Amino acid sequence: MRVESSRLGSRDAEPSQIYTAPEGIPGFTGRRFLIEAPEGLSRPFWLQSLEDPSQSLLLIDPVRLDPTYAPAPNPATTLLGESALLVRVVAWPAEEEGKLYANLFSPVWIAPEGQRLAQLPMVGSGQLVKAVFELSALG
Amino acid sequence: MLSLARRVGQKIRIGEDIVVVVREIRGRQVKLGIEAPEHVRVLREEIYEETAEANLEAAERTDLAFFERLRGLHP
Repeated sequence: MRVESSRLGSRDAEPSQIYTAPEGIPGFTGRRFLIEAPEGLSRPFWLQSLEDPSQSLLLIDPVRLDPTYAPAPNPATTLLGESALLVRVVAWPAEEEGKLYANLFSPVWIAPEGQRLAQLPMVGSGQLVKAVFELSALG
Repeated sequence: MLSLARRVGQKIRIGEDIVVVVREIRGRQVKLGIEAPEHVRVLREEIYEETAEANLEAAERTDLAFFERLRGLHP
């Protein structure tokens, strides 16, 4: 199918790249998303809304920023119906040069087999919506 | 929007399996009890809004240059 993206341009997507978010993604429209990860899900990749070309997020592996980060998978496994889930977080540039924000409070759970995903806030976790890291922390 | 008047101890049923009960009213605050299936997410609205605002900010501020920069740093 053809997918329009303000950042990635117009491109053909394979069915294996289309994921469904049963509860949507907070702030975004629609429930279907393209995962554009040419280098695999362990590297930074894009989550693009199929409904709105301007809505895309950059996801990264949170363990690269915080090796102790290990959110409980229970709500996600129930919602997505799969136990082998990947957890990723939204990252974006901070105002301060050389730093990024990562939303450790609301990780994105990905079920590769069923091609489903969910972003679930962790109430009471003490994690931050805008945790600040040096870009070099990724290295 | 549907508005319902309820007293302490009275309930509202939503669909087949969600029940909301008024537990306590103290001044301007109402304490609610919610029974819902495990797969139904129950959140304070401000929690959802906080994540929505962060997502919209991230979508606004992230560009290909930032993506390429992260790719370069990521081993």
